Amino acid sequence: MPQSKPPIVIVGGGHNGLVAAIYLAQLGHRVRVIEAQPRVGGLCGEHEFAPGFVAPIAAHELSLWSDQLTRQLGLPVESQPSTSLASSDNSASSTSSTSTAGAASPVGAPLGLNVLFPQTLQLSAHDTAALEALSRQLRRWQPLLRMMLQNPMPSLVSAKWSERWHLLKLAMRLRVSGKTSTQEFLRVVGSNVWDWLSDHLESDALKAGIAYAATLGNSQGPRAPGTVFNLLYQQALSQAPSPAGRWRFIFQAPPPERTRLTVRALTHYLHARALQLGVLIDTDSPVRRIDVDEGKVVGVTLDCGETIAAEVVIAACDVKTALLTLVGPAHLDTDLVRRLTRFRSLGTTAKLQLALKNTLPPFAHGGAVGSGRYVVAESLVQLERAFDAIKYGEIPSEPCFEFTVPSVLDRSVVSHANAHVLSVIIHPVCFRPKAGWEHAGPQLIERVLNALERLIPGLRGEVSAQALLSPVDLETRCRVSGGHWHHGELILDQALFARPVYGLTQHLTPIGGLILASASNHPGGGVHGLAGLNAAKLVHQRAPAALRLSPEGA
Amino acid sequence: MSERAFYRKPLLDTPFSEALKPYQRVQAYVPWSGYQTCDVISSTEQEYFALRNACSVYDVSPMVKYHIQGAEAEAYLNHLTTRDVRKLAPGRVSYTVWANEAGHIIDDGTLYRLGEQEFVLFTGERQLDWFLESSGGFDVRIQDVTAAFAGLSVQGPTSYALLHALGFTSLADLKVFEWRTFHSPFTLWVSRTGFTGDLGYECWVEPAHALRLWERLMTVGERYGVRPIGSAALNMARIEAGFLMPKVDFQNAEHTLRRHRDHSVLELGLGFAVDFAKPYFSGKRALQQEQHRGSTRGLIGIEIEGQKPAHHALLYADPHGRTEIGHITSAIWSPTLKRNLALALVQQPFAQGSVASCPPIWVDFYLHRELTWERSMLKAWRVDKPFHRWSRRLAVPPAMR
Repeated sequence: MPQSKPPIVIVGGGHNGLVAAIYLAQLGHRVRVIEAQPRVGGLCGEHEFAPGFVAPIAAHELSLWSDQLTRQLGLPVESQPSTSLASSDNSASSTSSTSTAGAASPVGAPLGLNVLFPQTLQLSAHDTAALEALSRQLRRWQPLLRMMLQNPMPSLVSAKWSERWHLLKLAMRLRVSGKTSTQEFLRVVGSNVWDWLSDHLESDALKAGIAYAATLGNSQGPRAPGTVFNLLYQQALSQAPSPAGRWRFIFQAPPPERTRLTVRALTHYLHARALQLGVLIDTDSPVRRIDVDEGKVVGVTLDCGETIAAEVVIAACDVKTALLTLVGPAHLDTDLVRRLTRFRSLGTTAKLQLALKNTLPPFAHGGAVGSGRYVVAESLVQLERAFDAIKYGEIPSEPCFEFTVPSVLDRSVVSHANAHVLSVIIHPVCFRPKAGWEHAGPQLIERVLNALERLIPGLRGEVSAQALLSPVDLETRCRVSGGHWHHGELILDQALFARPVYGLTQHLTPIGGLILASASNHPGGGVHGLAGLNAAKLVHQRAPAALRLSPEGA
Repeated sequence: MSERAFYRKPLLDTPFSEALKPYQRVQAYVPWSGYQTCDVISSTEQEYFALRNACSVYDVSPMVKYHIQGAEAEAYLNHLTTRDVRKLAPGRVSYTVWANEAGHIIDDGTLYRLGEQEFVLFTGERQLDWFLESSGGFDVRIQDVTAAFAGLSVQGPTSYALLHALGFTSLADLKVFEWRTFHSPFTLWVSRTGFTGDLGYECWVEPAHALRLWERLMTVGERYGVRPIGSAALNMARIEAGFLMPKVDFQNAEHTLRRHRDHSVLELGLGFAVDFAKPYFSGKRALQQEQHRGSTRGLIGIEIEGQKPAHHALLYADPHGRTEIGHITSAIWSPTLKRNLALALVQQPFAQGSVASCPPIWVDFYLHRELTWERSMLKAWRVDKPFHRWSRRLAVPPAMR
């Protein structure tokens, strides 16, 4: 019998939207994805920034994406955008790491984070032991953190036993890690990463690399409270390969990356899988508003004027866009509007894409540039100073950034034989520099290129084209409030029970049938698809009438 | 006023402060939204009787006033407040309340519609923060115009006669909750509103003309028994009329810290001011749910045996004081009705159903007599609220004497 029910409409074809679409389509739901841009992918999308050079728009590494989700969604497991060039590059990278093994061994992926160092780090015996100890500590918290992050947070006010049971399970998980470990967790989880790392480690460069990861996406520096939580968050979800045991600290360069999924391949696979399952995908169709009647969703209206009827709308766009722009404050309570307005979501991250026309020169220390994620932050002070600068609307004098070379793994992003693409994430930058991006942009590029030149001599001469995407550009291009990569800062007061804001923590909204499924929701930013997955599960479990939040305090 | 002068005095004078001085027999003041106002001018009882038997003048200048204007001013106010503003015609006033997402009251006030896109909202305390937060997405401009208008509340049976004698003859057909403008000898806005349940008017002028209005009222008013009153006398009248006083009968939900110390609009008995048929307004979802489930508490009027007002007393369901059911928020001995009255917040079932079906209530009454506390359990019973209706309040035209 043909279904008379209207399809589930998903606003936003980013990775969370696609994950939700695939999950629901697999279970037999009719799904329609509406994307404003000409292509799906959102911040995981790509663009040709110069003729013959394609680079990721924003996300350029997939350390948080789990194989489990790949299997669950029926995506190709063995993802091998293999070319002969890529494999030869990788072997070059691994040989260089083995050849320099010993005293000047490069430090790869400390604490299971996907962080590599472009410079040669010499770790003291003390630091080596301390890293091992920290890794052990983090491993003990792993089950708790994973449990917290992979599932929706339980409600703190609900009297339902299922919610209380969930809370109790979290508490027990923490407690079984041991008394000392529990105390240590509660001691450090709200503290700052500067102090925590300095308590354990000596090498400033090592600390800076880890602290960079801990502050990514936020506007507070390594001395800000709550930055340890960010570190734990990334470490907990990280799928970075670790050869010797699941969560052992890796003191080697990562293994050959040929089987590693790229962002580009992931977006492609998600798109193809959705189409294969019969998901309708409308691109180039910006949504003007989500139509609400009598407190319930009735559909969406596109910019072109077309109205699509729906009982259930999954907003896979950031929460401010979903509720303040598309639904509108007239349908919401002032308290919620106030909380949403105060949700901090000004982007602190810019993207620089560089086209290298002929070759990719090696690092100054002689090693070849591999496919990993290299973090350039030499000291904690440099990192903290960069955050100081953005407070005053300035460009950091020594910017901190990370880069990957997508063309190492995937040769199809360049059209010339020896050409390469460098994808640089500059963090932190301020959303609106005082000088304006038209002046601040070139200055920032200049400083980043100078820093890159010191690490990779000869790189500047190879750059044939460059493109900078400021947070403002990302806001207009990807329709993300503030152009924030994580759809809102991920720091303790905007995480877990409070993400995105008090009251909206379980994907439900006060509008019946409207579900939130973006990085604005728990567990937050990063390409892991968990927000989309959890929202889709909820939609599948409940009848449309039950997809609404009960009034506060009532 | 220079900025420095503004901070020199913690409480500001109203435009009538100087004019009131010759009438003040006692110096009893209370602060009111940043202004110093008189609690008592001569004697509370005399002031009260002037209000009920002749004419009283009360300085309402500290009332906080917001000028709200814009193409979407009506939609904005409809979202902010619980009443349907679309039904409020220009020239009319309505009593309204606004609530947070839990349907808990933030404050109440009176909304004057000046034109299609122009309103003035009068309220006891400053609310700009909440009003601005509520204005997201609406084309509206909100401005605090508190200091731009001085006001006098002229209340009592001879108030109409007095204003008529002043030359405002066209007030004859002015109904309750209507307002009118006069331009001679200076601009004066008069609304038939008040906080007393009696015949009365509120008059608003620019501060420059405040003293002229005062002098004319006082000079001409002598024949009508006019008397300036303070807030103590007004408080007696408003309890008789069953009106709620912010910070006394309810707490602003934005200011409470403890759970259940704020109040839903419905439990305060303000359901008449909630229009569920209009588009979404702040608190609608929660209030709909509460209406469906029933309120757990309610604000009721009670009468207590004896003659001593039972301020803040706890209430019990039994004479032994075993089951506490609520407390008294406002209490007076009503000189007009000769009854010991109180407003009380009580648990169900004391607030539901008819007055006759309400079980007896016991008041835990403490009296401090000659340095000793004497405790007694007084019997009380629920009565209709308001405690009395003055027919002259609604009379059109009002009596001339």
